[in-house]
Amino acid sequence: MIENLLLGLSTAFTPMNLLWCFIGVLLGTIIGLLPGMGSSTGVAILIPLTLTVEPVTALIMLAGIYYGAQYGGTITSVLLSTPGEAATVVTTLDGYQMARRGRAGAALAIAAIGSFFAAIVSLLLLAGLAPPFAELALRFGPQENLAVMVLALVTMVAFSGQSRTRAAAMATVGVLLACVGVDAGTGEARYTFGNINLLSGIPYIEVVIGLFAVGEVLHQIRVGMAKPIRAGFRDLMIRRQDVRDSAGAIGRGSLLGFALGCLPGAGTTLASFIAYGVEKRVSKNSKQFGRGAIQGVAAPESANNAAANANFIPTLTLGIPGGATTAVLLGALTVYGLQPGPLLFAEEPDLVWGLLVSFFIGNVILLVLNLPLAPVFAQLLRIPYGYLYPIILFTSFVGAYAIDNNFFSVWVVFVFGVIGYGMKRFDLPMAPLVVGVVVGALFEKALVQTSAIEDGNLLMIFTRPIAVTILALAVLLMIGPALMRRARALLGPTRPREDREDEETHV
Amino acid sequence: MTIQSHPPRHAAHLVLYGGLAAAGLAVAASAVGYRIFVEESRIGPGFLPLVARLLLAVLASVLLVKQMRAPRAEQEPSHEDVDHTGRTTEQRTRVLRRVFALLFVTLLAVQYLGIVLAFGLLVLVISTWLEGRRPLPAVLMSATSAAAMYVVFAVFLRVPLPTGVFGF
Amino acid sequence: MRALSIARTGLAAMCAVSLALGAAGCGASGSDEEIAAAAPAPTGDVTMVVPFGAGGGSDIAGRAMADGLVSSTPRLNINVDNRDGGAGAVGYSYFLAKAGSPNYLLATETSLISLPLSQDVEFSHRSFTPVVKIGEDYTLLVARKDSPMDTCAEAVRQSRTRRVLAGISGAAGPDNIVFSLLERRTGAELDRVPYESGSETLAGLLGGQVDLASLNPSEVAEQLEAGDLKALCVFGDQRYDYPELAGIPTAREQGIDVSFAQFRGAIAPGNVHPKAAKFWVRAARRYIDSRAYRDYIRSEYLQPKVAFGKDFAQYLRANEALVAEVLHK
Repeated sequence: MIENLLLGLSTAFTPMNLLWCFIGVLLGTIIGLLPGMGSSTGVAILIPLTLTVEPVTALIMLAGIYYGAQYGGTITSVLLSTPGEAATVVTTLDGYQMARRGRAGAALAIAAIGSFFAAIVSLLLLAGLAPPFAELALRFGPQENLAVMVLALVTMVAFSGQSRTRAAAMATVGVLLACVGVDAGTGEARYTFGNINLLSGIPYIEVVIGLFAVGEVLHQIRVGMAKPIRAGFRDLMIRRQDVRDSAGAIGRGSLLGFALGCLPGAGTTLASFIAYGVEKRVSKNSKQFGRGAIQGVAAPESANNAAANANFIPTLTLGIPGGATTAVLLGALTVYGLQPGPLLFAEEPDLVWGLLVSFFIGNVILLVLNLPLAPVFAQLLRIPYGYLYPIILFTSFVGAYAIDNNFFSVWVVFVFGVIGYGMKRFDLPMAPLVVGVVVGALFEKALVQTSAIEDGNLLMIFTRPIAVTILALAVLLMIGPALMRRARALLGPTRPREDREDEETHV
Repeated sequence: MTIQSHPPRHAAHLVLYGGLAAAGLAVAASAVGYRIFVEESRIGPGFLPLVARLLLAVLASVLLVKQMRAPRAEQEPSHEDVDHTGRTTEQRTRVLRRVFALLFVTLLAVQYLGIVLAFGLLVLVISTWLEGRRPLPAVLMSATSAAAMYVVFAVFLRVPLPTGVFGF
Repeated sequence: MRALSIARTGLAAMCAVSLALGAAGCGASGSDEEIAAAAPAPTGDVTMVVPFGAGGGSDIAGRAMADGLVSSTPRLNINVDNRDGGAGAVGYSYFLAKAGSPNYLLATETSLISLPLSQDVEFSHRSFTPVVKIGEDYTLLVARKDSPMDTCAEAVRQSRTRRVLAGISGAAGPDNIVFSLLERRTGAELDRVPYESGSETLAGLLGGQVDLASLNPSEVAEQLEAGDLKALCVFGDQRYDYPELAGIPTAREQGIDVSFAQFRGAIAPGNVHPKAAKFWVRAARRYIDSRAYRDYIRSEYLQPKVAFGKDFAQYLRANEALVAEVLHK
């Protein structure tokens, strides 16, 4: 394994490669700053640029673009509460609150550090455990996927800050929205009202932009403009204490993200949401979650990066793309005349290891570039809101159009912008709705497949040990806190907490 | 920090949750139209919509009941709630309505003006008319943002942005 | 629920408004194309519409054709535009609105035939102008290496006595057609598990969730070579010539009369100027003669069965009749 790593390092570490990687990170970050332009779009757009260089160099540059684009999305999530893609939605919850408290620089820095650490962890795991993990991933059938989706929905509801009933209601609305479009089981069109754009379902990136970017702008106008933040430069820098506080969150996020990322199709979004949920439960600082807890940024950011790397396990060992971006990268590999599949490790070791090491290099460059730049980016918040909000609307709508070059996306953003504003007014949480939309489609697919495999008997899922374990975890998350409360209530007199929790409103 | 918004009134919440519950039940019937089970008792296209709708109806009813039981703390804003730009709640609501209308008009204008010009004008109109920025910097700001958008999307990313009568 | 119905009525209203105003928003209006309509040759950039996402077989074909046409035709520039969704329906419906324009092409495949037969869409293959069929693709019936089934005949036999699960990519896609034909002609009974894509089906097969899958050679070549999977038969009228696939017998050799080819090619919008149709056919002929074409066919394990213009249209009619045998709304 060490030999392999050295082989990779020796192919990757040339000044030329580092330069290209640098360019990739820079371009990727710029693309990621635009709403709707996630890492997969970024990679797809910039692939032609890489065709002019050697395959290894091109891969390193692509890795740079990839991480850059991801980080760009984090930047806008933190500064403007406008996530570019679903994987960074959860970062807005605490990242944006940190920014409003003048801690934008720290939030951005911890995201870069978390991603960097996750990259190292996942690289080592990838190098050492790719084959057994691939084996394990294959045992994950629809039944297990179904259990994971249930877990994802339950996590989101169980850990949402305010009323659980409201969170559950919103997650349900999300699942309902996901039902629009062609049904996975029969290919029938549902709730499309003859509109061809709805055949592919309600597009979730547009939903995210609408709810978070446009909804937030409208809400800010209503509650009174956010003041430009005039934090001193020192406040923007990350403190040693911040890193110490986040270490546990980063570690847990990385491992959790890696495990979820191994599953084909489970994806980085789930990883980020579940990591946030788990961290909220585990962290000593859990009261601060939703109000600007640095762990609330560190955990999901580490998790989505680790998951993105782990996505390469099914890609490289089985030839099955683990996520949207890996699918595009897989396409890029074939452009260089490489056939990804079970034999790639054996036949092209220098390339595979070069690729793995290039992830590492991409992250190093990202850290080097963005740690000093984080406070600079944070200066964006000094623009008076009177200018900033029309410009956010501008980028949101143009970015939405650019997703599919389709004006339909623009109307979707508009409609969900209005809905997002309404939800803020009525204090309904938006993150569960997004999870519902993302998970809903996967959930239904797993449901249909399980039903087909088990010949219509869904209860057969309880004969699968992995699925049962995951479901048990979900039940525990659901009733665990209530049991704890019950236990505490028996031990000593306390005020009825549940009701209070429901009346709590958030700003 | 931002000023606490006044939560919508008790009654509005009741209407929202009641509406959600009623609509959930009423429209659940539509899911039956898409078969709930297909042959050999497999999950059909109507299954998840039906389950989700019923669940939503239940959840909304729970919220409705909770809301009805909640103390009717109807604290109308007695004092003037002024934000740092010196606007009252009423003024802010007016601005919001105007932004909403402007945004809708902008989207409709895209086909005549092109997306870049339409939104460039939106930035200009909002910053001068609604936000009281001085004209010259506002013109500069909106022109710069429009140019930047054009360069990034149309030139660099080669996105075929909707163009208007002016050809850009 | 109310949020949802607001969204719905809102959306519907938006669509109505934008349609009324002729925006390219929600539906098939396409007024922007009228200027270019009926022009005899493309002016400016051409768009190759791919009705599936980036990275799949259609995308690879679309990009290969775009590159090949550009390099064999002077002063031509083609941009690829992925319009995926609804198992191809979104892309084809979008293309329908480009009627008359010489500036559009679409990378077509079997869903051009299967979608109108299985779903409520507004187009059929008659709505478009066939340009070229660049090749055909047969599917292999594959199973895991430790499967008790070694031939297609064996698979059919076992399916009559026990439950055999078959993974299909897309509920109404070509895999479903192949399995339906198999059932109709042999009395086999296969329980289908719908997956979303070829790669997902492959994962399901490797993971032991399903017993069989019908996949294109390019999707399983690696796994066959590595010995993880075995090919039971090919649903083609003759064996493949490629050395790595030549050992796979056809279904007919095993006494099963099932052969189904998926095609790949390009179509132009309907009602194009006759000269524009000729222009594209001529350009396609030059591409078919190029080295780039041969390289593409080889890398995707396609059968180089080519047809142009009218011949392609005739092929589509025959194909439609075959598919209609098993698919009905």
